[in-house]
Parts: sequence; C-alpha cells; structure tokens
Amino acid sequence: MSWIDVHTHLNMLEGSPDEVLNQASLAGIERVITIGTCPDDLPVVLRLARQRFPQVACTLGVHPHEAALYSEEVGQFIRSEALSREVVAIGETGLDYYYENSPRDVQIDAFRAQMQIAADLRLPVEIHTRDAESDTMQILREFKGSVTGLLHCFTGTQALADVGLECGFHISISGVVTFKNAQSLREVVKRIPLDRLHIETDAPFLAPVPLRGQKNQPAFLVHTARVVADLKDVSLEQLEKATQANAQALFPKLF
Amino acid sequence: MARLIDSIFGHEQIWSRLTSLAAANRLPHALAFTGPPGVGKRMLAWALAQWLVCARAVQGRPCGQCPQCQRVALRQSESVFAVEPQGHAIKIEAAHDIVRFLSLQQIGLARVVIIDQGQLLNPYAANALLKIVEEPPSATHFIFIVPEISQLLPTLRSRLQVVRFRPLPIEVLRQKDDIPDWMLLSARGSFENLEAFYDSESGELRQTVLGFLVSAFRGERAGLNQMLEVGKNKEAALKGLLLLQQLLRDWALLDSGEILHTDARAELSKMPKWDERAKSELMRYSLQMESDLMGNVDRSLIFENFFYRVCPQLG
Repeated sequence: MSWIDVHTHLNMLEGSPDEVLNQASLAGIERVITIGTCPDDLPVVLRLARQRFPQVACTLGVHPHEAALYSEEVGQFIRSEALSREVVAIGETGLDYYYENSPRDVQIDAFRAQMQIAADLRLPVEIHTRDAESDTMQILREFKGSVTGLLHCFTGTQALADVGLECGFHISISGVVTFKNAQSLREVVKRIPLDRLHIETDAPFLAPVPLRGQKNQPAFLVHTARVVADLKDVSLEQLEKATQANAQALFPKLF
Repeated sequence: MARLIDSIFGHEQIWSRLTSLAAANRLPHALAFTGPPGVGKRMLAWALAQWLVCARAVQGRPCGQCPQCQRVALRQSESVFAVEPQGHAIKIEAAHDIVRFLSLQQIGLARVVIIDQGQLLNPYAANALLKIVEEPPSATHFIFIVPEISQLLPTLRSRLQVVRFRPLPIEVLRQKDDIPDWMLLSARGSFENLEAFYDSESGELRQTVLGFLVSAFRGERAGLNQMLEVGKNKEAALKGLLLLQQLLRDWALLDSGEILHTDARAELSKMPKWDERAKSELMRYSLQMESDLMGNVDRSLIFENFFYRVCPQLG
C-alpha cells in the first residue's frame, strides 16, 4: 500500500518528524504534505520539506484563524518561496466563521489575496472552510477557471461540494468521516466522484475512530481510508490507486 | 521492544497452547482471559494479537519486525480494535463500534477485538455483541479480559473459551534483587500489586504501620501519632491501611500459616495472643476502616478508633 496524506501539520506533532514519518511509513504512508498556517511557521514547514522532499512536501499560506497576520509582505514571501519544488500548493487559506478568530472581512481579503497568488503561480490551493459556505462558494466562483485545489477536511454540505466540484476542486476527507455523528458527511462522501477524492489526517487534530483521544498522526490515515473505501464501495487497493492518481493530477510538483 | 511476548513474564504454557492452536488453525474465535488483576492478561492478549497479524511469525513467535508487528506494538494497527470502559461501564456504543469495525474491509491476516475489563460490559452492550461473537467474520478473534468468568452474562460466557491465568510465582515477580520478600509476598502474584509497593517510600511506610500496630497493642501513643501523620494524605492512608491489614493477617496466622512479612516475624510474635473470635473481629473492623477511608470519614478518627479498639484488650 502506498498512501499520501495530503494535509498534515508535521511541525505541530509531539514526536520528532523522523519518528512520525517512520511510523507513517510502517502504515504505508509514502508521502505527506505539511501545511503552512501562519507567517511564523512558513519557514518551519519549508525547512521540513526541504530536508525530506519528496517524502515531505509543503504548502505556504495563512489560515483564516490567522488572517489578521496576513500582509503584503507575507504575500511576497509566499510568492517567492512558492517557486521552490517542495512547495506544492498555496494554503491553507479560506474562511472560518465558526471560531471567527479574525474578523470576517479580514479573512475574506486574505483568502482572495492568496487565491490570486495561486492563480498567478498556477499552483493549487488548500482551502479550510467552516460555517462560511456562502462566501466560500462566491470566492470559488470568482476564481473559477484560474484556480483549482482542495477543499480540505471537508465537513460541508452537498451544495458546497457541488460548487467545489463545479469549480474544478477536489475534496479531501479526514478522520471526521469515522465519527459516529458524521452521518451527513458520509452521505456526501458517497456522492463525491472517485477521481476527485483525497484522504488526509489533519494531524495532530481529529484522530479517527478507533484512535480518538490520541494525538492524530499520519500513521492513522488508513483507519480513515477503510471507512471511505466502504462508503465508496471500492477495495482499499482501488481507493489507494485513485487517491494516488488524484494527487498526481492536483499536485504535479509532488511527483 | 517490538515483540510483545518478550516483555511478558510467566504464562509460558498458556502462550504455547494458544499459539499451537492458532498455528493449527484451531484457535477458538472467542476467548476469555480470566484471573486476578496485574498478572499479564492484557499484555498477553496484545501479544497474541501480534502473533495473529504477523506476516512472518515463526515457531510460535511473531517476528516483531514487520510493519504489522510494529503497528500492533505502537497500538496503531488497523487489525486490532481495543475497547476499554468509559467511566464505570462499557456501553452499547462500544459494541456498535466493534460491529462497525468488523464490517470494514480486513487488512492483513486477522482481526482481533480486545475487550478489557469485560465485567464492565453493561447488559445492552453484552447483548449487542452476542450475534457477532457467535458468528464472527472469518479470521476474526475476540479476547475478553475479565477477573472471573462468572462476571459475564451467561449468554456471552457460553460462547467463550476460558483461559485461566494464575498468580505469578515469586521467582517470576523477582525481576530485581533488591525487592524485599515482604513486597513480593504481598503482591500475591501480581506485577500491578508489586508496582504499588515497589517505591522508595513503601519500606518506611511499612515500618510506620508496624510501629503503630505494635505500640497500639502496648497502649503507647507514639506509634499513633506517626500514623496520624500518614493519615493526612488519603493515598498514603489507603496504602498504610492495606499494610495494616496484611500485618493483622500475619499476626493471626503466625502459628498456623505462611506469613507475608517474614522479616517482621519477631515483632509480630511479641504482640499479644487473642482468641480466634477477637482476632477475626479486629480483621473485620479493618475492612470497615477501608470503606470509611474511601468515604468521607475523618481519617485521623479512623486510626484513633483502631488504636482504642486494640488498647483495652491489654487489660
């Protein structure tokens, strides 16, 4: 088996990156994409990826929680460093009205600015969205044709999934799909085309059943894969091949 | 250590029997590991799970090196589902999780469900498991860990093959030379019990408790004052009471049986001889002290009352 964890935070995990990656490789996780979230951690994820590419690649971006920290200068840093081979996408960016750690208008401005960087550099974007479907859909449509990417840790409605797919986006499923109360998400997953589907851990958050309560890590990905394979009514081997092909299509710099 | 069986002491016969059966494809699909706490039932369940999923097991041993072995050792394996009580019960949600786990595709050679403290399965959870334990999917094994088989519902218990674990012999418990005999004997064959005693303070605490007991029989308050100091901390008080109960037991059995605190024999011998009825009443009272300690009774009063209960006998 050879899986790709398309969204993880290696720099936030408790174990050393080598230990975490070793455990991941025991579980057949061949590559991971570690995600930039704020100006301070961008050099960190870059270093992690530069030391271990292609096993580790990274994205550069500012999370909606930290949108207030986004600036022209940060944008310039992302633009220049994103040219490196290890940087396979922009993000994570997007909108989070659930926690609203940054004001909505600030989140929207930072999101648009990072979508523009992705458009200019022809890179995919990893999007975080929570309780902000209407504004997210609007911005996805604004950039339709010039930006594609990944709706990461998808927990939204069928309507958001439909708009994302219509705008050329792929959808990534995390350990949330294994949770008892995620029935509506499981229904959405059944309808996501197999050629647009990815799986991720979003570690250290959201450890899947039956490892809830533990700090999540890339090695736990296959627990989520089993549930997704069941929902898609495919074998694990078929899911693995499909997600590999999807990663190659969406993140060409990774290969 | 990736090969779990290597860190288990004792139980060689059980291991050999289970792995022989498994090698011959005759391992019952549902087992109950019964026996006192702390003797290694849970560890052996995980070791057996490792053997069952290992792709390169040879001669009754898992390889300990393959990814499957390593992932079981890390408790990350997709082939093993472990259930523990949430609070004071294993509820029906856990049973549903097990059924869901077994409905997903199998990865590897086998799947193992380990239910720890099975005696805490509530009736709904136990009933929800009956069908799948009776007819599990292929290459699926259930291991229920429970002190006594009678603690499971009869309907569940009839579906399980019982594997009895006995207390470990002292030679097995003695993994280090510096463990005093009284600690090994007090552990009653359980590493868990031994661990509770094996620290730098237990020796001193045992002396304090022995001093309290000896001086109480003499009617001297010096030992009581030291015991009251111990009683200020609930955890220490509970441990002290356990030692007090052991010493009372040794005092009662001094002439007729094997005692735990062999090194205290001389001091125990100096304590007065009571008749059997009075001895057993005092022992019973020490059990009452335990429930008082667990409750909200003033801890200093508990030991003081014991002191006055012992003193009048002098006359």
